[in-house]
Amino acid sequence: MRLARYAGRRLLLLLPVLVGVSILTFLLVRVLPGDPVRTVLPQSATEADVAAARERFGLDAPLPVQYLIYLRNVATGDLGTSFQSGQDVGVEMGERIGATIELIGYAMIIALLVATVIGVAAALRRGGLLDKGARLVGIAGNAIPEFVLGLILIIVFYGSLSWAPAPDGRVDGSTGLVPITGASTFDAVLGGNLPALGSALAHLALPVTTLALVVLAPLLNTVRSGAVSVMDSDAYICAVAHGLPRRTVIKRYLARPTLAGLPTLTALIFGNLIGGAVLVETMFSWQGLGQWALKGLVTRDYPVIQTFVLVTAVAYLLLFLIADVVQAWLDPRVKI
Amino acid sequence: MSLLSIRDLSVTIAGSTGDVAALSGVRLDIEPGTVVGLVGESGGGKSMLARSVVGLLPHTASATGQVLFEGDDVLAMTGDRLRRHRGAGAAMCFQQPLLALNPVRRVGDQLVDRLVAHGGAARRAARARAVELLGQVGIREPERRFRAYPHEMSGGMAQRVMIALALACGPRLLLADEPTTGLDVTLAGEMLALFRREATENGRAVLLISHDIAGIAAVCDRLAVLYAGTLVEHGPAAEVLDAPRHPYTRGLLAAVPSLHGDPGQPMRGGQPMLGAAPQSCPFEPRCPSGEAECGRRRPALVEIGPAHLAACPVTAREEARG
Repeated sequence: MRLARYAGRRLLLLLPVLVGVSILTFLLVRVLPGDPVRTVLPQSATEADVAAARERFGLDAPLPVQYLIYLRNVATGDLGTSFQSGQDVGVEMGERIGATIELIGYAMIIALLVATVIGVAAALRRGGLLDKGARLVGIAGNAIPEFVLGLILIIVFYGSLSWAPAPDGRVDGSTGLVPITGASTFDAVLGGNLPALGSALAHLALPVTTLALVVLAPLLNTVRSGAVSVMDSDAYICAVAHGLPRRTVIKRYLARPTLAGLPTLTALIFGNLIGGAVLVETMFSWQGLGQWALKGLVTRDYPVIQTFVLVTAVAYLLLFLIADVVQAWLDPRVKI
Repeated sequence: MSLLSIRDLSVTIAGSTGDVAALSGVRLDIEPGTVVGLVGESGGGKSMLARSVVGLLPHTASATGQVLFEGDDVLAMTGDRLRRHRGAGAAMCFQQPLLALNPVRRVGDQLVDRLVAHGGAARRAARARAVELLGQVGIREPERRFRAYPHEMSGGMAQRVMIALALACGPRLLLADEPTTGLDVTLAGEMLALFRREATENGRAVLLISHDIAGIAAVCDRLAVLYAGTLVEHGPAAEVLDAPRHPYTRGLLAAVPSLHGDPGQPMRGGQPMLGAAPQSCPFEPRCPSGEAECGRRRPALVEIGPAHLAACPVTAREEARG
C-alpha cells in the first residue's frame, strides 16, 4: 500500500518533467542547423513548393503557437506525422519500441545474471583465476567497442560456423509471425507460432550476446567490488564465525547485501541502451528504436525526434521508479 | 582435559610496515562451566586470541602453536570440521553488534539460520525457539522483535540479539569481545549476569574479553591479563583483583577510578608494537619495579600460588622470600 502511494506520487512527477523535456526538445530540434523541408522536397522544388510544405508541416506558425498545437495533439494521443514517411509517429514508434525493449531486456537480464554469479564467485576466491578473469573483463569490456564485438560474433557464428542466422532482422519472414507488441518472442508465444519463436530466439542470440557483453563490464565491476566489501564486513564474518552452511552464507549474507547496490546502476545502463543500442541494431538490421531515431535526427524529422526524446524520458523515469522500489525491497534500510 | 587449551600460541601479522607479533607464546586453559576474563589495554592481542579460537585469523596472519578444542587443533581444522567447530564449538559475540548483524535480514531469520545450522531443526520449529531465545536475553515483545531489522534496534537491543545469535549456535564455549562496551551500567551488569548464568546453569565455558578489568571481574572465575601479546598474569579472579602479582595488573587496577573520589593513577607510557616475540620483559620500559635482569631475559610465566601464574621474576622472588 505504501509502495503503491509512493509509485503514484512518482508517476505524478512524470507530468511536469515531460512538459519540461518537451519544451526543451521542441526548441532544440528547431535551432539545429538543417531544414527538414529541404530533405523531403526534390532539388528542383521552387520557393512556393517550400512554403507550401512548410505550411503543411505546420512550421509556418510562430514557435509558441507551434508548441501549443503540439502539446494539444500530444495530450489527445497524437504524436504527429513523420515528415519523411508521412506515417503516424506513434504507430511507427510502437512498431519499434517492442523490438528494442526485447533486445536490451534480454541482454540486461543475461548480463545481470552473469555479473552476479561471476562477480560473487570471484570475490569468494579473491586473487584466483576467476577473479583475475573478471577483473580483465571489467577493464577490457569497457575498451572493446560494441561494433567490433558484434562483427566478431557475426563472422564467427554466422560466417564460419553457420550456427546463427544471417543478421537480417528479428525473425524469419517465412514463419508468418504477426507483429503485436513488436517483441518477436512475445508475439510468437501470443500467436502460438512455434517456428517463429525458434526463429526469433535464433535471431536474438548474437545481438543480445553483443549487448550483454557490452554492459557486463560495469555490472561485473560493481558486483565484484560490492561483494568484496561485504566479505570484509563484520556481518559477513559473523555469519562465517557462527558456522552457517556455505549455501546460506553466500545466498543470504553475501549475494543479497551485494545486490542491494545494483538497481540504480542497472536502471542507468538500461536507459542508456534505449537509444544507445543503435550500432547493434544497425549491424543486425533490427529496425529498432535507435535506428529510427537516428534516421529522424539525420533528416531533421522533428516529430520523430521529439517523440523519441519523450519516450526515452518516460522510460528513464519508469526505470528509476522500478529501481527505487527494487532497492527498497532488497535493502530494508532504504525508506521510500 | 580442558575444553579449550591454548598451547604456545604465537600469531604474527604481516603488514606493509613490517611484521607485528600480535601474540607471543600464549598458554591458556578454559574449563566447562567457568567464566574467564581476558583483560588488557587495546592492541594487546585480545581480539586476535578470540579470532584464533574460531579459526578466523586474518589472511595476513600466520600462527604457530596449538589451539586445542576438545583435543582437536582449531588451527589445523578445515572445511566441514571447521564449520561445525564455529558456532557449535565456539561462538563469538562480536564487539560492534550493530555492524555484525546482517542489515538486510530480519533478526529472527538470522537466529533461525543458526538454529537450523547447528540444531538440525526445521525452520518452522526453529522459529519458536528463536522467539524464546529473544525473550531469554531480555528482549521485550520477542514475537514482534523477531520481525525487526537491525537498523530498527538500539545499541543495547542489538547487543542482546548478538548474544542470542551466539547462543542459538548452542556453543560449548561462548566468546564475547567487549560485550559491555558502550552499554549503560545496568545493561552491562545484566549482560554479564547472563554470561555468568550460561556458565553456571548451562555448563558453557565463557571467555569475556574486555579492557575493563574492574567491570567484568565480578562475574569471572579466573582473570587472564594480556600485555603486548604475552600473558603476564593468570589466576583466580578474586586473587588477581585483591593481590595482583604482576606490575602491569597492578597498574591496570590502580588506573581504575574509585567511587570515593580517587581519580585513579594512569599508567605511564604505552604498549609497544612488537615486530617479533619479545626477548626481554615487554613491560620493562613502563615498570616501576624493573631491574637490570628484566631487560635481558623474557620472564617465564611461573606458578606463584595455587593456580596463579605471573610472568615477573621480581614478584616471584618476593613471593619466595615470603
